[in-house]
Amino acid sequence: MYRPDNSGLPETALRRVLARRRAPASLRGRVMSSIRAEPARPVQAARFTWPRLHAGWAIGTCAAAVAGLLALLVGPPGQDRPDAEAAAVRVAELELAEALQLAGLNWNKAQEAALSPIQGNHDD
Amino acid sequence: MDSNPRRLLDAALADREAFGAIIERTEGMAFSLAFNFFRNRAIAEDLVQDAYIALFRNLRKLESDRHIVNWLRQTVTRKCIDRSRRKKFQPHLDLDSAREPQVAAVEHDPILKEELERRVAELPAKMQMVVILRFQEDLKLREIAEAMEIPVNTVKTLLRRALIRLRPKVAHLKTEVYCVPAGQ
Repeated sequence: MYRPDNSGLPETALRRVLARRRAPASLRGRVMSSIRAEPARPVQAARFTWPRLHAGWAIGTCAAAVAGLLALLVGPPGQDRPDAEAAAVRVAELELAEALQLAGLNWNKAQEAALSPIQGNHDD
Repeated sequence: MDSNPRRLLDAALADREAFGAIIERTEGMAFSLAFNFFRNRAIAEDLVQDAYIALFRNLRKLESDRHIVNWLRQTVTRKCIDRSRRKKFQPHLDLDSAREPQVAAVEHDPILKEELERRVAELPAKMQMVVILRFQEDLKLREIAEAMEIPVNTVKTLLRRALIRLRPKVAHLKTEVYCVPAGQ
């Protein structure tokens, strides 16, 4: 007498082999112990700290890249400086000369006024 | 009639003990997935425990009770594949686990059964999981794709290749089993 086998296809045999099993009785108790030990979780508003930080870094990096690119394209910023500085110095020198001249005139006037004889005494 | 679609979820949020009802309804599926994948009871229990803790932490995010099974199935599937990748797990049959009582506990051909278990365990991880989800859970291809987060066409390919690998072995074994007298 031979054992009959009705599994005509591997699918049939697979269904039998992979049939659901009963979970061990201890599993539920074990899981519930872990659940009881879980810390309470208050409801929290969604936080976007990391994405915002990432966006900040991205914008900063882009701005730095654009500034660097512009600097390369336009050329070094100190190239026009000697002319501008010379003009500024010239203006300052002129202003200084004018101020000195004015001060000299004033000084001369003041000196003349101090040294000139007093008209009233002379008449007496 | 209860119209709250989050009855189980809300109950578990209000009272942790009510989480037991969720475990009761889903533990067979979750444990079987992990056990059929690893063929190791201890690893399956650890993995399922982790999955339930993850579920508890995500109770607020689930839309309704109907999503619990899908969420859990997806989580266990992902954890099984991740674990098999992290540590090259050598599947084996431990003696305690091998005689675990089954729901459909009809062992027609013990030799065929054990050999087929071994052959399924030797399949690559994703292929093995597709076979388990198809024949343990009786899922459609689309549902398997969702559970494994892979395209449906990939599921089709994996399943076809798995059956091609298993078919000649099963056929070969069947001829051998026919020749084994009953009771031996």
